Amino acid sequence: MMSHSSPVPPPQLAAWLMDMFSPHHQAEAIPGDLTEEFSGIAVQYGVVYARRWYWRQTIRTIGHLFGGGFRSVRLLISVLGAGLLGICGIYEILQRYQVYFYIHPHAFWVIYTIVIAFLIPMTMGFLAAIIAKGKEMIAALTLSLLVGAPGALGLFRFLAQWNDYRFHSPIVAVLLATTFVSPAAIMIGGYVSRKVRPTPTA
Amino acid sequence: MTKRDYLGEFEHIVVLAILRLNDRAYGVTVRQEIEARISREVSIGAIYATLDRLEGKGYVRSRLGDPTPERGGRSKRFFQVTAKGLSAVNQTHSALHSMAQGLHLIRSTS
Repeated sequence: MMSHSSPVPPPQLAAWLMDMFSPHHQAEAIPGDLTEEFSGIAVQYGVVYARRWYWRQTIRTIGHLFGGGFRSVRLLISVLGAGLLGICGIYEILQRYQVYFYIHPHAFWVIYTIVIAFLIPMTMGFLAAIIAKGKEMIAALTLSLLVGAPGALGLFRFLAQWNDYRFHSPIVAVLLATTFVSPAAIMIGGYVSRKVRPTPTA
Repeated sequence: MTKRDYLGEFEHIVVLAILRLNDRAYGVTVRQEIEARISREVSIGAIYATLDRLEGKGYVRSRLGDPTPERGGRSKRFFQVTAKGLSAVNQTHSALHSMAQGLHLIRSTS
């Protein structure tokens, strides 16, 4: 079952995901093992079954690698997560008590500070993606989720209050940017560091 | 003996699979050995996450093989249990044996 070669390649998207998320030192072993078993299963049980098997393995494997990546940068992610929750909390308090109304001349700077606070985890995400070596892509994904999830919640909340904000186009731009740009930047950072890494050796 | 000298349940299974496979132990064979012996379907990710942890603790070591065409030109990573790993297996077995001694764990067939 292990040594058959098959002209049928594994599902392209799943194979790409495996290549992308396999840690540095296992970049050869994990996708290679899956391809080898896929060939055997395709010969024995058919291509449709083998493709389903490959997808199932890919999803479960990425889940495991993701958990491993989270544990490898646990402290950094905990600090970032706590920081982001704190920012969300401050933002919520400002909204609830209409602080902008009372400090109107400085309202822009309040928002600006919050935006800067989003830029800090983004920058740290870049650094984590670059220094995390083997776990860089998983760390980048974890960080982007941490930044993106509160951002998406904020955007959802903002859209629910669209009528109050629609004339403030710079604020709209800033909110959209903090929602999508930070996670995207972290992911790109992970991708870049992934592509420039050296080839693993024995 | 410190707490860290014991193996977790899945770590234990993976190390025993490597010992059974001897010099043929790599991701595919370890996964298939576990599936065949204990009928437990495991993902290759679970195997490698555990192997990573075991390698970090010094219980196993690995080396890259040659690339092969059926693997899309990728290399196998072969694993071997170290002396420290063997000692951990023995200590875990011994601890489990001591804990189970005197208990009637065999399921009645009646």
